[in-house]
Amino acid sequence: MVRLNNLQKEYKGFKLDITMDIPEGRVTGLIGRNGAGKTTTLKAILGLIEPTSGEIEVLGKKPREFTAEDKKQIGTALSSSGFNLIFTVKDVIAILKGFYKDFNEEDFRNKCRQQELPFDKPIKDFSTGMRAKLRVLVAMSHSAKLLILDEPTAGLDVIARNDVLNIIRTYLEEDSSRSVIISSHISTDLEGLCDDIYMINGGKIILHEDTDTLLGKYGLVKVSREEYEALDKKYIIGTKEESFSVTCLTSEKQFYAENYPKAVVENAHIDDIIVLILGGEK
Amino acid sequence: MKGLLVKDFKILMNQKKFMIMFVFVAIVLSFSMDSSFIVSYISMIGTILTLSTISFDYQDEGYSFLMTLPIRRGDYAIGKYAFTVLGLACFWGVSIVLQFASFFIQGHEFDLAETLLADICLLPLFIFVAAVLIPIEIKFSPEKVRVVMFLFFGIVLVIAMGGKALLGTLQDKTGIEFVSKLEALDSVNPLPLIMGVFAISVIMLAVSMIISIRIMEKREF
Repeated sequence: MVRLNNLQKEYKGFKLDITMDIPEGRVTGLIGRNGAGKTTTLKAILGLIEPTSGEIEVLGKKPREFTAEDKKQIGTALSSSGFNLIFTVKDVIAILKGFYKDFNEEDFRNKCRQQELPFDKPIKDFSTGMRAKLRVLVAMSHSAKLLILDEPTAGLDVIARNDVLNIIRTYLEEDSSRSVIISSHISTDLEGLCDDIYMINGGKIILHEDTDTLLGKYGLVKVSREEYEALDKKYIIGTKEESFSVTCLTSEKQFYAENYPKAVVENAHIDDIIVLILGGEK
Repeated sequence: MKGLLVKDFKILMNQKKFMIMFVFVAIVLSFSMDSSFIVSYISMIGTILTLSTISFDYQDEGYSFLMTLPIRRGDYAIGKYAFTVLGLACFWGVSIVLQFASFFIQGHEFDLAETLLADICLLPLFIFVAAVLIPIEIKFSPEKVRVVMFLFFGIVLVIAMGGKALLGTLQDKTGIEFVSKLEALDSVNPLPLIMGVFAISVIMLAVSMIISIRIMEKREF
C-alpha cells in the first residue's frame, strides 16, 4: 500500500533517508523524538514535499501524480494544520460535503455528538483535545482506505488521548482492510494500536519490528559490572551504565533468562527500547 | 472544486462584522455620492474580500491540510480565480442594483445604456487587480504580500509619474497637444475599444492563472 525506497529529503542540517514497506490492512506506527523525521516522512507520503531522491509509491502511484479520486482514498490528520479555526463544525460539514461524494453526514454528526463537539462554536474556541478529535473524525469522514495521522494525541491529557485512540480503534473494527500510518512520540499510544513500529532518529530508521516481537522478545537485562563483562553480548542491542550495574537491551530476553540466572530479566516497553537504543552505548 | 468554493464562501460569511459595515457604508454612499463611485467602491472592496480568502488559507499552515483534500494543486489556483470572478460578478451586480435604486429614490435622470456602459468599463480594472494580486498572494506569506504590494504600487506610481513627465517633455519639444488628441477618442465608437480592453484583461487573467498554477505545482508544504 505504501512503499518508500531510499527516500531522501535534504534540508539545511537535516537529511531524511528512509525505506519502508507498509502492506494493506496494517496499522503502522512511526515513533521518534521531536524533529526525528516523522512528519517529513508523512508529508512525503502525502506528496506535500518533493523528495530529493529515491522512490515513493502510495496506492500504486507516485503521490505527486495523485488525482482527486486517488486522494479520496486517503484520510489525513496533520498535527499542526487543519481547517481554518474560524470555521464551526457546521461549516466543516458543508465543506466536506463539497469535497467528498462518500461523506457520511449522519455518521459524522453522530460521532461529533458522541465526542461532545459543539456544532456552532468556532474551532478556535475548542480545547486542544476537541481539536484533535475533530481532526481525526474529519480524516475518517469519507471511509478512506488509508489513514495518515500525524501525532494525533500530542498535547492531550490521558482521557482525551484514550478517546482519540478509541475513535481510531472503532474505525479499524469497521473494516479490517483499512490501513493506518500513525506517528507519535508517545510509545504507549502505539503499543496498544500498531501491528508494527518503525523507530526513527535523525532522519533514519533505526529499528523496525512487529509490536508483538518488540514486546514479547525484547527485554531488559540488569547485571552487575562484573557480570556484564562475562555476558554473551550477541543479542545485546544497547546498554546503559548505572551506578553499580549495567542495564542491557536484548532482542532475545529468553536467552538471558535461561543462561544467566543471576541476571534480572524484565519485559521492555517501547520507551525503554528508545532510551537504550538512542541513549545507550553499544 | 465545489468544496473549495464552499470553503471560500464560508470564509466570506465568517467576516460578518466587516460585511455588515461594508454594506452599510455602500448604502450610505449610494445615496450621497457620485453613482459611478459606488460601483467602483463596492466592486473593489468585493474583489479584495474574495482575495482575502487566500490569506485565510495560509493561516496556521492551512495549505498543508488543504493539499491533502481531493484536489490537484492546480485546482486550488483555478478555484481562486473562479471564486474571484464569481465574487466580482456578484458584488458588481449588487452595486449596479444599488446605483439604480439610488437614481430612482433621488429622482435623478439617467441614460440607461450610457450608465451601464460606464459600469461595464470598470470591470477590466478589477480583473487587472485580481490578475496581479492572486499570484502574489499565492506565492508569498501575508506579511511578504504587504511588502510586495507596496513595492508593486510604488513601481506603478513611479511609472505613472515618469510617463506624465515624459509626455510633458514630448509636448514641449514637439508642440503636439496629446491630451486634446485623446479627447478626440470621444467621437470614436467605444464598443471595439471596450471589447479590446476586455480581451486584454481576460488574457492577463489567463496568464496570471497559468502562473498561479505553476507556483502551486512547484510549492512544498
